[in-house]
Amino acid sequence: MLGRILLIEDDPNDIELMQLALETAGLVSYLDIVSDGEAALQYLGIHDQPAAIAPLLPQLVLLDLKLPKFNGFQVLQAIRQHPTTRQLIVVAMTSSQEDTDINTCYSLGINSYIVKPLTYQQFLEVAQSVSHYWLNLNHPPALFPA
Amino acid sequence: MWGFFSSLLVSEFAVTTRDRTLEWLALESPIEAIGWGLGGCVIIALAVRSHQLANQLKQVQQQLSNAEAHNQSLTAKLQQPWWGFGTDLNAWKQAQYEQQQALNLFQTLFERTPLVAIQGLDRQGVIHYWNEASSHLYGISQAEALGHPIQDLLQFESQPESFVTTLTEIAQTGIIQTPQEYYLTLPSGKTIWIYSVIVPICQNGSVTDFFCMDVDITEQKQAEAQIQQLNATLETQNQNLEALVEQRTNELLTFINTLPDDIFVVERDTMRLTFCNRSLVEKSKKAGYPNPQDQTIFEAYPEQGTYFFAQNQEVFKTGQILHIEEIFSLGNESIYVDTYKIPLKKPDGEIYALIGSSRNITELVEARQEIAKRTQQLEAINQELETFSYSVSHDLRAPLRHINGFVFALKGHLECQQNGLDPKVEHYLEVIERSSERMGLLIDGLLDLSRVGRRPLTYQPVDIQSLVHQAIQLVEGSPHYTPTTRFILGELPTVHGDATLLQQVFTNLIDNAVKFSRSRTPAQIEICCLPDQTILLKDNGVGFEMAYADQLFGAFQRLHKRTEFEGTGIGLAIVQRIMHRHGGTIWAESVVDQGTCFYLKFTSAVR
Repeated sequence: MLGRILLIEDDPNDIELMQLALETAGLVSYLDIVSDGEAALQYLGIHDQPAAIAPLLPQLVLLDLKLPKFNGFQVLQAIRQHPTTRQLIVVAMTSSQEDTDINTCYSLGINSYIVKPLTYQQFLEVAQSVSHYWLNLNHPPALFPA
Repeated sequence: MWGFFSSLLVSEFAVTTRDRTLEWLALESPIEAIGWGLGGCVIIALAVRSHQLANQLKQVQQQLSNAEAHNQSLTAKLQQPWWGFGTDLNAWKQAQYEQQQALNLFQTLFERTPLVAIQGLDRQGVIHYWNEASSHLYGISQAEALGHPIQDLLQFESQPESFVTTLTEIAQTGIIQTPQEYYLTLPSGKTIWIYSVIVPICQNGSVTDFFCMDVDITEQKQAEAQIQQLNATLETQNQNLEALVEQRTNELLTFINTLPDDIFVVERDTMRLTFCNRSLVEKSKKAGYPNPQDQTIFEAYPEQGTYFFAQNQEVFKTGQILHIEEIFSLGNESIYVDTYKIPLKKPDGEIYALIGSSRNITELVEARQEIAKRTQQLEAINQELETFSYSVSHDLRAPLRHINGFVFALKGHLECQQNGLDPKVEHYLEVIERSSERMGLLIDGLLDLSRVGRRPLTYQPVDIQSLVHQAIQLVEGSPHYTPTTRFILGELPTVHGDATLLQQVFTNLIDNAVKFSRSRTPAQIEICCLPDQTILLKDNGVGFEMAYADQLFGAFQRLHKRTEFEGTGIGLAIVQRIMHRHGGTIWAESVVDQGTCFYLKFTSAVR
C-alpha cells in the first residue's frame, strides 16, 4: 500500500501543474496539499498547536523553498528536529539553482534536491520519476506500521 | 739622626786621638772613620727606600746604637787625665777590641749588603773601593773596576754631564746632595736605572774622596714607564672613544631629527619630556605652543596630558611595549598617530623613562575608512545583486514554467474536445511554447553568468592539460559534436586558479570550436602554448569578421544567425568573466571561413 504525498507549495499554478502531472501518473489521489509552512507543520503534528487527531505521516514530502510564514528551510529544520518526523523523506522541489540554497538544504538533511524544469514535458517526467522512485523503488524508514 | 750624630762622634774621636788611634783603629786615615759614619747615615736613607733591607736595617741600627754607646764610654775615658791612661790600660785594650769588632762589622756590611752598590772614588772619579753589590749591579768585577775612573766604565745616558758636574759641585761645597736617578748603559750593553747618592769625604775642610751608594730601580722605572705608557694609551683610547661617541650621537641625532616621525623620551619620576625630536618640536611650534622639550607632558599637552600620563604609567608599571593607534590633538589640529612607547631600563632593570615614536597615519586611516565605506557599499550592492539574481532565478522562471505547462495542458484539452487541433492554433501554441523555452534558456544563461561573477574563487594549481582532456570528453557527448573532429594538443602549463571555473572556460571554448567548425572535413582544433605561457586555442571553423571582434564577449551577443548556430550567446561572456576574475585576459583573432584563434593569458603561470 502506498503512503501519501504531501506537497508544500504556495503557488496555485504550480499546485495545478503538479496535480496535472500526478493525474497523468495516476497518483493524484495520494496527494495532499498545504500552501504554507505553518500549515505543513500542523499537518505533520509538529506545530505548537498540534492537530486534534494524531496524523498519519506522509511517505513523501515535496517541499517548495519559497513559502509564506515559515520558509522551506525552517519547515525542513522543524521536521528534522522533531523525533516523530526526523526520518521523513523530504524532497526539495524548487526553481532555485543557487548554490547556497542547495547547500543549506543538504546541511539540514534534505533527501533530494530537484530544480523544477522549465518545460512542462520535463516537469512531467521529473514529477513522475520522483514519485515513482520514492514511493515504489526506495525502501522507506519504518515510520509506518503495517 | 742618631746615625749622623754617631758619625760626628766618630769623626771627633778620630781627630782628637788621631796620632795614637791611627795604628790601633787600624784605619788608614781619619777620613775613613768619617766615611764610615756618613756611610751609616746614607745606608739608613737608602734602606728606607728598599723594602728588602728592612730587617737588615734593624740589625744595623742596633749595631750602630751599640757603637754609639761604646764611643761615649770611650770618650769619657779619653777625657780623663793622660796619666790615667797607663793605669787604665786594660779598659783601653778592651775598648780597642770592641772598636775593632764594630769596624769589622761595618766593613762586612759594606761588603755584603746585597742591594746597595757602594763605590769609593777620588776627586777625579777614579775607583778605589768597589763592593760585591757593585760587581753584581754593574757586571764589573772589583779587579776590573779598581783604578779606573767610574765615568769610563759606566755610560750615563740621562744627564751625561750631571754626574761629573755633581761630583764637582759636591767637591766644592762638601754638601751631600739629595739622591738622584741615573740611566746607565753597562759594558754588557744592558741599560739600568739607579738611585744614587754621592757622599763627599772631607779632609782638612776640603773634599778628598766620594762614596757613591746606588740602588737598582730599573724594575720600578720600567713599571713606571709601563704605567705611563698604559695611561697614555688609555688616554688616547678615551679620547678616541669620546670622539666616536660624539660622532655616533650626532649621527643618531641627525637621523632622529630628519625622521618624519615624532620621537620623544619621557622621564618616569617627573613626566618630563627630556628629549623631543625636531618633528615633535615643529608640531608644537605650528600649533602656537611652547617648545615641549624639558616640559612635563601636562605642560606640553594641556588637552591630552592626563591621557598620556595614564598611558605612560601603564608602560612604567608593566614594562611592556605599548603599541596604539590614537588621536593626537594639538591646538585646533587632530591627527591619527601610530604610537610605540618603549620602556627604558637601567642595567639593574629599573625603568627610568620611556622612548616613544609616533607616526602620522592620518592619510592611512582616512584611506582605510574610505575603503571600509566603499567595501560596505560594494557589499550592499552585491547583496542587492544576489537578491536580484535570486528573484530572477526563482520568480522569473516560475511564470515561464507556468506558461509552458498550461500551453501543454491547453493543447491536450483542445485535442480532447475537438478531435485534433486547428493547425493555426497548434502553430500559435508552439510559438508560445518555444518562446517561453528560449526565455528560460536566456534566464539560465544570465544566472550562470551572475553565479560565475559571485562565486568565491578557490585558488590552487590547475593542470590545464588534464582540464583540456576532460573538456574534450564532455564535448564529445554533446549533440553537435562530429566524431571526425581532430584535436591537436601541445604541452600546456599549470596555472593558479579555480579548477571548476577554469574547467568551464575550456569546456565553453572547445564546445564553441566544435560548433563553429562542424561543417569542415575534417574539423581541426589545436590547443597549445606559446613560449610566454599564453594558451592558444585554434579551430578551422567559419570564423568571424574582425570588425565585430569587440562584440564577441558581450552577453547575448551573437555574430552568427541563431538558425545556423544554436546557443544563447552567453558562453564567451562567461569565459571572459572567469578570465578577468583570475586577473587574466582573453582575446581572439579570426579570418572568415578560415578559422578562429583564442588567446588566454594568465598572470600566474606556475610552470
